[in-house]
Amino acid sequence: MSVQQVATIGPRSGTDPEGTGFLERQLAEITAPAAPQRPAGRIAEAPALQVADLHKDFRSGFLRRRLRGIAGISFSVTPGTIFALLGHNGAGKTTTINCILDLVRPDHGSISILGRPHDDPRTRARIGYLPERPYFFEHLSGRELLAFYADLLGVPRTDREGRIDRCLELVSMQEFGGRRLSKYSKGMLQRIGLAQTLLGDPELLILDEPMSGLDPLGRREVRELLLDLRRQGKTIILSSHIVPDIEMLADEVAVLQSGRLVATRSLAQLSEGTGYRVNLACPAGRSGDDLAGWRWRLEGDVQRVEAGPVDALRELLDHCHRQGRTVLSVDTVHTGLEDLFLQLHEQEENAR
Amino acid sequence: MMRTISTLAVSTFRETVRDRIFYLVGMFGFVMLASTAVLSPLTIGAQGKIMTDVGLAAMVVFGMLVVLLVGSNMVRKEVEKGTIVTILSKPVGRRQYLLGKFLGLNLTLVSMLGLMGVLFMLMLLMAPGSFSPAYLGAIYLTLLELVLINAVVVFFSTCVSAPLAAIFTLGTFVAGHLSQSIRDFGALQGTPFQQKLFNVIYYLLPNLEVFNMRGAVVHGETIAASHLLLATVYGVGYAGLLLILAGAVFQRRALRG
Amino acid sequence: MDAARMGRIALAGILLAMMIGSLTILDTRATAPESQERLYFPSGRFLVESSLGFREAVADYLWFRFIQYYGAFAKGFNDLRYFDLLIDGITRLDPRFVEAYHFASLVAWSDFGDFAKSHDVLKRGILHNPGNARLHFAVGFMYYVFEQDYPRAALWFEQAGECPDATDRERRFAAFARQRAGDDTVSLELWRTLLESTSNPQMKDLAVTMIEKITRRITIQRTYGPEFIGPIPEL
Repeated sequence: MSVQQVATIGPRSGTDPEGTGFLERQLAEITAPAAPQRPAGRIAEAPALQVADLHKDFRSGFLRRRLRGIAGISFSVTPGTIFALLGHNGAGKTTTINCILDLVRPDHGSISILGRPHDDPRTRARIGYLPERPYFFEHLSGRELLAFYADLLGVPRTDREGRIDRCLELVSMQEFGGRRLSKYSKGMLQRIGLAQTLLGDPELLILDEPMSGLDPLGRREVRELLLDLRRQGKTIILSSHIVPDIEMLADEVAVLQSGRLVATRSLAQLSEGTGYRVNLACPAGRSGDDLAGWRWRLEGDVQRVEAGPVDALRELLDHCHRQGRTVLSVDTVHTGLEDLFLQLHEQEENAR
Repeated sequence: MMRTISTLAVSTFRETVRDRIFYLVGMFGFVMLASTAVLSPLTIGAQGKIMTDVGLAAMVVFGMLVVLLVGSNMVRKEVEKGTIVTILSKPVGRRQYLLGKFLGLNLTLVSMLGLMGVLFMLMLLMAPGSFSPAYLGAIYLTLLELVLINAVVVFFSTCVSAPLAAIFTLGTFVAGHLSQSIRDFGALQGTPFQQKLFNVIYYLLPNLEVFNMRGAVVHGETIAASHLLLATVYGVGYAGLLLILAGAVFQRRALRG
Repeated sequence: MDAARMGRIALAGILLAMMIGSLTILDTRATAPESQERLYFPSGRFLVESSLGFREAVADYLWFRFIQYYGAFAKGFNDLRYFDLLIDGITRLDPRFVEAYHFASLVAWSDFGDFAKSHDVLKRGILHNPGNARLHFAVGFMYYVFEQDYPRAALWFEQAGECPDATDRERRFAAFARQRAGDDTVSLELWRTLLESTSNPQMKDLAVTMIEKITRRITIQRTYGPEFIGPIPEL
């Protein structure tokens, strides 16, 4: 769950010298709308990526049993947004991406990228792709690798070194550019992988697990980089099975399960799942039973009470005030994505 | 497009060189020297002949080794390791990729045969009376033959696994040298149908004897310029067809599971 | 079907034409009567040492080439100058290659008219394959049909009969040879046997020719009497 501490109401005695007006004001502050909503992208333009009714079967073994694949996947990505594919390992995220990139031919369905057919190699000049487990020529240095890709992209020779410098800078790898890839750590390889996606100054980025192998600092850097790229108007498609990363970045999420697209949520829809939690002081001896009817749990000498939406919060704070309880802080809780994910997973399990 | 292909070709060339292929060239030199030392007592007065025999044969053998071992693995290795994915996610068509690989290995063959050729010529000069510019023609034809076999291995590697591709290519090499015999054998058979069948087989298989002027050159004969031209046309035609076929197959293959 | 695909198909067509055209031209040049067979075969000893354990395979390959070579000779494209070299190579590489000795001996007699060479080849074969009935039989055959040396022929047939892999055939002919020295019907039988037992087309041809000749002679003798044993007039 993503928890944001929006307001801390200092410890207060049961009495409210300033009257409930003060509480109202505090409430208003807590429940005030967050920073301006993230831009919803350039909706008026044609979708950056459109996938329609994609099917791909993989067969394995002597009996050619259908092993795994995707069935009936359709979605479209608004330009200038970050779109996430969320799913367990094996849900079909990578297969979908492989189909988009024409590495695998779908059995059925159509894909168009930036308005053009997906299997035209020229379209790929405007795309940057980072595979799940990037593998590069190990004997080359970082710079040499980027030079190779730059040549494949058709970057003019005069521009090449400048671009390589810029891309290395973006991923904080300037000092390691001269070192051989065989000497890179996993995190460094991931960064170089990102760098090569940016070489062509692409309009669309497709990143398969871009945060894997990075330490928390690295993850934050990548997050900020991606947000920056979106600010520049680029479209990003992420695939991951890690919910917090997606929650912090995505404008829209598509949940995949067993090869099927089971849900899509926009950011706005996810925000609807917002709830509040009130943390009360509960010193030893205090039973906390006076909060019957609310869901709560005890952590040390703090009693955490689930409040639900704004109206319920109001009610709870009134109740606490009347009971003379001390409110320590109020937390905003997005219960949307992870719970949705788990819920869908349970549904699937039950259906079997 | 040319830039894409040349980038891939150069990168392939560098990969194969780093594969320690050029150590094979050193082995070639050693083989030449060793054979001269060991076999010359057995061939009284034919020292030059033995050296040229062994030298020219070794070029084919080592060239074939390179083509079989490196060529069969080239594409497969990149698919399995996943390096191909980042390449093909760039604006690189699959056919261009294949062509780049093919040309890259050709570059390796040219440089390898070039070095061997120089070594060879030097050794010849040391055995007086053996040198002749016709040898250059024989070496050129050997190179053509290897280029053709390169196309064969590229073709097979798009269809089957790397070890199978190497085996099939080797088989094609052997059959290619026997193709004339196979056709003549067919001509001796009874029915016209059988004769036609063997004729078709003859045209399907590469006739590698076309490129084999080694024996003639060793006997002091020269190679007609028209023969060099025709052989080049044949080699380019056959290799080109194989590459087009390979491209068609490769276009349809799934590159990731 | 887009332009690129059509272009590729057109290119494939051009390449196909190049390939077939050039090969056809090369073939006609190679079989032109002026161009002598460009064979280069190193000496048997070199071959043996450089075959590195694949001797029989190389022998087979050489045999293959020899058959072609002989076939080309039959069409007049070469003068069989490498006969010795080839047979030497083959038999050194694979001394147990019985068919090679046999065929070589026939060629030596029918094309070189050299009975001594023929006999030599067979003797060498027997040296390496002492118990082989077929080779002994072949020597007897030589003596009977080529030299008309019936006692010797009978001797060799009997020796063939005593070989471990002998069949009735050898013993039968030993008997015939003794009884009917000089009788054409025996010769006819011998050639017929050869015709049936071999799969080598050239040997079959030779047998057929000889059978024709002898049959004609028998017919003429029947017509004109037994005194007529001179050369048969060609019809």
